[in-house]
Amino acid sequence: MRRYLGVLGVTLGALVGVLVTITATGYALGMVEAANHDIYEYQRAKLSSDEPFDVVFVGDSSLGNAIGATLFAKLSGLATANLALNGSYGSGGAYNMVRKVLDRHPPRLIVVMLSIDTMRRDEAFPGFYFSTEPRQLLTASPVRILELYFSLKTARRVVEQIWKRGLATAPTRFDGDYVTQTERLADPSLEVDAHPLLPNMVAQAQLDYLARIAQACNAHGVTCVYAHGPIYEGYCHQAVQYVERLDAGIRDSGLDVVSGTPVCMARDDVGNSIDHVRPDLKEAYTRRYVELLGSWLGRAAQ
Amino acid sequence: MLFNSFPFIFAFLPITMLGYELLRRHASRRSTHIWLIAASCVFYAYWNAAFLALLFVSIVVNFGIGRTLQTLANTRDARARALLIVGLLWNLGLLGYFKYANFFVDNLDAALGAHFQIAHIVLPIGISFFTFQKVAFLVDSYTNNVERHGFVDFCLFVMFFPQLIAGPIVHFSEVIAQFSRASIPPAVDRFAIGITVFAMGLAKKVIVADTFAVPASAVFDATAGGYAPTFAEAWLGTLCYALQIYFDFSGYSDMAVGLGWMFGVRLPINFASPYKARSIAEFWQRWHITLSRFLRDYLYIPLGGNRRGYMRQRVNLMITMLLGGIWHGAAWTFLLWGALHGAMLVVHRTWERSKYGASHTLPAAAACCLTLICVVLAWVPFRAADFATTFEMYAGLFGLNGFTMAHTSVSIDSPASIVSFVVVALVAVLRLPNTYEWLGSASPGLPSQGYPATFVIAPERFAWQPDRRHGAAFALLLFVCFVKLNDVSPFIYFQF
Repeated sequence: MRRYLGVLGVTLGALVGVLVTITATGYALGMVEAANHDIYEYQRAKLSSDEPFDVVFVGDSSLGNAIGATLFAKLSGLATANLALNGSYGSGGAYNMVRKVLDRHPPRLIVVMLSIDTMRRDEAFPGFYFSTEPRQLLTASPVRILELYFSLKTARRVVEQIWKRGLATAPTRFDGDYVTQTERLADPSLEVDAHPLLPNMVAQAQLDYLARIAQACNAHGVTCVYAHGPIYEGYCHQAVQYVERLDAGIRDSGLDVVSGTPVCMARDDVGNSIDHVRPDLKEAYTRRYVELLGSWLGRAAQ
Repeated sequence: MLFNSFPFIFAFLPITMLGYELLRRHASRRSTHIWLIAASCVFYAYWNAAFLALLFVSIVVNFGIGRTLQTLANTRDARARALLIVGLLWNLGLLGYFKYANFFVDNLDAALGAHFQIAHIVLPIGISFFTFQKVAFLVDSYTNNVERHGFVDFCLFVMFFPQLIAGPIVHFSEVIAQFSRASIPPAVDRFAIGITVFAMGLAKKVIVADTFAVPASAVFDATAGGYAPTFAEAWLGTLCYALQIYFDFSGYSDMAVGLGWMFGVRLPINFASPYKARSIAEFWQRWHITLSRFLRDYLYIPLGGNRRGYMRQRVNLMITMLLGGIWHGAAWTFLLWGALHGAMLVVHRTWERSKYGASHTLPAAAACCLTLICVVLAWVPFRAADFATTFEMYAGLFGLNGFTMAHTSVSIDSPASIVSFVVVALVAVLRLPNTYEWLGSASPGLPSQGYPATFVIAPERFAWQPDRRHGAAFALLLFVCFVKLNDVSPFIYFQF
């Protein structure tokens, strides 16, 4: 029995060790979207200056592609920062950015902006984990961390990338507030057909981090609101019930939802994803969000 | 907490085992019992801590009544009988309230249009199982078939986590002596055998059952949404569900037995290759054996069994199976499932006793095939959301909605590979030895008297051996299971 158990234990340990090493390598080198250190470090660097912000945006790529912080500051008269990560970071990443902002200089207004498509993603913990400070990890469940490194899907993706490109990862290019868009989505309506958003798809895991954002804001006396990121208009028609359910969940988590959002993008406005504005329209959408946030900005300015 | 989850496998189980081994070596037996009870509380509370109080109150009440019944045993006086009735009413009342109150009120409302309304009652997980366990304990106490034991022992009997949520439905006398015995096999042996059986169960669940769940759900959900499945779709969906529930429940049962064995307790075998049965009666000697045994001993026999004549036996069979059906869930579809099995048992009994049936027996393969088809067809109402879905599925199964899968609106990825998987799985369930046959020499499960399939002899060619080759193979199997744990799904029997 001892020999049997010994072989079982050693073999299992070796297999697990190989898997964990591969996934950890992938995470460390930023080969996985949720562990894209370039975007995280780029946005975190904006907080390293002493310049105080009045308005801070946190969220995903729908935010990164829609809001130009410089123009927003000019239009609103309030110092603005856009700290968008991406959808893989989700609300977990947004929560950590809020904490960093609050620990630095609490602003007057924090706007959380995520795509309605991000809010259906079941997993929010990876985004939290890969944007957290080491000391915060003490409060994270070790089992959840273990789950992250036990992913055959991630390991497979890492091995594929190493096979194709070696250990080198292509540097991310930035343009102003966010990652540079390269190509356009051919036909966004195909996405609606292939991936409709149904009311039962609203991910509680994402809402849980929104609740933590609301708690953190309340604790610091800072106003925090939620604005959906822009989305292709096909989803505005298809996902009415989903958005209703999502709005109810966001309000239950303690955040107000900015009315008029999600902003629906015409087919020609869509960039390289269903929730990315075309780069040349970023200014127009920034203006649109200044209007939608008007009352909140007015209060923040007082 | 699910057996097939990271928190259970990587946190709860190692901590519980470590604590158990330390206490076993350095402290009293009673302290190991208390440790296991505490661990079981954590296991149960992980789902909903509020119902832990209900479970505990129920344990206290049953212990008190059981103790008194044991004192009055053999006197057969009216007090004992009255006390037994109180105990049964208490247990069945709790089960009735939590499991059937909403169903009863909804149906009464529908029948009378009286607009009765009660709040949605949350079903405490495992209540169907631990209620039957305590009912058996009270009846056994009344009939003087249990030894007197202390409260801690009784608490452990009910709460022992490997069997708390979805069985097997154990008898007090089966496990209590095992908890109390002075010497148990060495930890290495217990862990080696336990982890092997557990790994078999985990693989059945996460690799096989969860794979079949996807096409089964696709067909049944589409049908529930108003789609009329074709012959090919209906059969694919139904066969996938038949295999899903087979591997799901078989997997759970193996895991429970494996976990029990890690703590030196042999739990009864609950599942013994039921699709190899050559008759519907034999099916019930192989499927959910401890439920079948409970229904036989505490319902069918007290109703008179086969001792009160031809007609009465058939009526008793129908009553037993109808109640067995509704035990699975508060829905008419479960009642229909029970009725179908009751009817099949009645037909089988009638055939056996007929002149023609006595002199003619089907070849084994044909009998097995016929039984399997009947069982598979009966799974339809068990899985279907309602009667409409059930009948639409039957229409598909009998070819009333066309035959092919062309232009299907059921989203099944690569149906050809699923068909191949179904064929392989069917061959496996019909031809391969089951876990207990394969591990025969280790005998991790407890056989049940009157259930021949649970008395196993290991076939030589396939027998498991604790050697390096098997060690490496099981390491690989566990590894594959672990990487699939991210797609965790609950066991079907957890909802009962």
